[in-house]
Amino acid sequence: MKGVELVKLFGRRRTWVALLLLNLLPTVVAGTLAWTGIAPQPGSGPAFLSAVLADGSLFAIAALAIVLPLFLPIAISVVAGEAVAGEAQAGTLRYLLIRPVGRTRLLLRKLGAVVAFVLVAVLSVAGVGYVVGRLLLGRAPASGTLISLSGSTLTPADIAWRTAVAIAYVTVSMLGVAAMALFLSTLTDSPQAASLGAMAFLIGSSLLLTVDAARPLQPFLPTRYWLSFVDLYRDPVLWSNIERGVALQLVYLGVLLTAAWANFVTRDVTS
Amino acid sequence: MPLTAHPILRTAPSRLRIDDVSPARRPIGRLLTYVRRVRRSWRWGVLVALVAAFVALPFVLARLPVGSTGSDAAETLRRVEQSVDRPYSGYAETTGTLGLPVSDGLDTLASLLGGRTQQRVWWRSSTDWRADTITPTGEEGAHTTATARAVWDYEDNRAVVTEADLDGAVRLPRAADTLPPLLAARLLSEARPTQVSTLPAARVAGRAADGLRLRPGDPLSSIDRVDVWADRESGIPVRVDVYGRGATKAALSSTFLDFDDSAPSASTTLFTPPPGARVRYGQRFDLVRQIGRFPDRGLPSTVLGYPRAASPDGLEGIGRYGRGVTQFAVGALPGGSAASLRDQLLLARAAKKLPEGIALSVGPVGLLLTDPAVTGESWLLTGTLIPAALTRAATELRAANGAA
Repeated sequence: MKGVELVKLFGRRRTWVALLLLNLLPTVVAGTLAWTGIAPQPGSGPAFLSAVLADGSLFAIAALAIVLPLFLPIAISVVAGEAVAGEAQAGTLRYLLIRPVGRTRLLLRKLGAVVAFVLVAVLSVAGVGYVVGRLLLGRAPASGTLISLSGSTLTPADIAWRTAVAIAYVTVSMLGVAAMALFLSTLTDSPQAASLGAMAFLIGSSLLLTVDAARPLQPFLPTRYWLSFVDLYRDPVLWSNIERGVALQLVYLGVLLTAAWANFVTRDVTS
Repeated sequence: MPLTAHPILRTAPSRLRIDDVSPARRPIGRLLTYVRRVRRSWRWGVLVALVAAFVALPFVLARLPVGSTGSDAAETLRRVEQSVDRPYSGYAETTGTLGLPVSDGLDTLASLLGGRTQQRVWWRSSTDWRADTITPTGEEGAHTTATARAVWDYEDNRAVVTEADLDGAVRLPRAADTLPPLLAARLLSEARPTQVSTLPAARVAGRAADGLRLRPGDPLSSIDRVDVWADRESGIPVRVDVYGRGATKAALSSTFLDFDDSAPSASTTLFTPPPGARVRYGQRFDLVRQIGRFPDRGLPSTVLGYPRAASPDGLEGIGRYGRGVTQFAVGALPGGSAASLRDQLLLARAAKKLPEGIALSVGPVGLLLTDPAVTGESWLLTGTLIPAALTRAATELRAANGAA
């Protein structure tokens, strides 16, 4: 059944359209940078974008920084919001449950498909960003090194493992979004309502991060540590915020998936 | 027959719904609904317990009993003084609530004292340490040795190398000055055991810390109290809260979020400008140095009874006075700078026009820009003085310079 869910997800045209659109924005940004040769001033714009004209391979991580605040969460919340509510809206959920499969198992399969989409989305943005960066933007120096935020020189091996951890970290951060949308998807028969609900939650979180009066709440907001993958490019790596970010996402994952499970296995399915 | 042994309840009840049950079995279906409600409350109960556990966890950890060593405040003060050059490293956050209404040349100071600053520090000794100010997409790292200070700014792709600061040199506060050990060393430098009292021990950065409270007892000081917690293992201050008079909220609070009292490696503090970076040798623009370069316009040797501190860097245009937590600086501003600052102060809601000039108090930081028509010069007085003390100081300056 796991395979069925994956085939169903990646057999949909809209899944591929979502992935395409997700990669379109960074590609357009890379194109304009290559065309004009004008990068943002250091300290302005998404992380590392100011450095990509010198080293195009950095665009892998810059592309993630471009889509992370809005486009990636939108794509993931649309797919995760669709998971259960989409079946309900199409009237197929009831038939799915008649098959010899438990609700918990069905929810886990849906979760598995969503996690697969998150992985594919993050890896595609990083991969396309790398390729586009290498093709359109600056060639890496002969040494293949990179200047860290702290002013030291990172070797290619340093860059490779830090980028791998950054991709893993962004994936974990996005799983929190997926869990929220999946939970809302079990509450409603409207996939749009589930997706918009998840986005409203994230926009609210991002807004509260800018309000000083909400400072006591900020360490617990889901978007608080999203951009902490930048800390991987400091020397030494600043692990504190990355650890806090992972722990926070695991808490959200635990709570939201438990809520999704508690609701889905007990709700009356009428469609 | 027990309820759960009924054939309907044994056949995957989580998949069976009352609508699925034939009319003949409706009574059983109702029974099933009851059982399902019990199951529902059980599952939601798990969720509520999970949320409660996660919400309570930070509060429980923060309130874990720290225990007491039985040492009093005087002993803690002695241990803090002895820890001055002990190595450590950590990640600290400073929160200032002072909204300074200034910008020209002072915006870094305004943001330091009125916002949140996160720093990493590696301290091997007073002549070998590094402090990085962290921003979401960059950092500014200051590497200090016995002879030089190199500041790396990632976002400017620039390193500025200057001579190391002389002890007691007059300069604007920097982010590193607000790190708990450096801030505590400055504030407790002249504290006497009779001025401190014991605070309950606390857990800071996951480590037990002993607390002390300093009340300066100086009637002219705008500082009401300074609370310091020192790491129990090393005696290094790990949290400092500074309160102004009558304030319930700290004007400046600095605390370690992560702390390690082992010596950092030499490679961590070492700095070599990266290839391709711009490297500049010499000072960045510093308003204090600009003012200090002017000749002494008649600064008295004592103001309000406080003697003038020596100026080791030859900046004669600025006088530094004070003792302990009561510190203030006096300098004569040139016409253009004075007019600009006066305009900025007049826009501040809390500014007061006095016969001597314009006064402003932001938390424990007092500021008075005198009227040259009254005092002969545009004297800028700023420091941890109460407003009445600032006006008295202006009067003394006027008398010392024989102004009308």
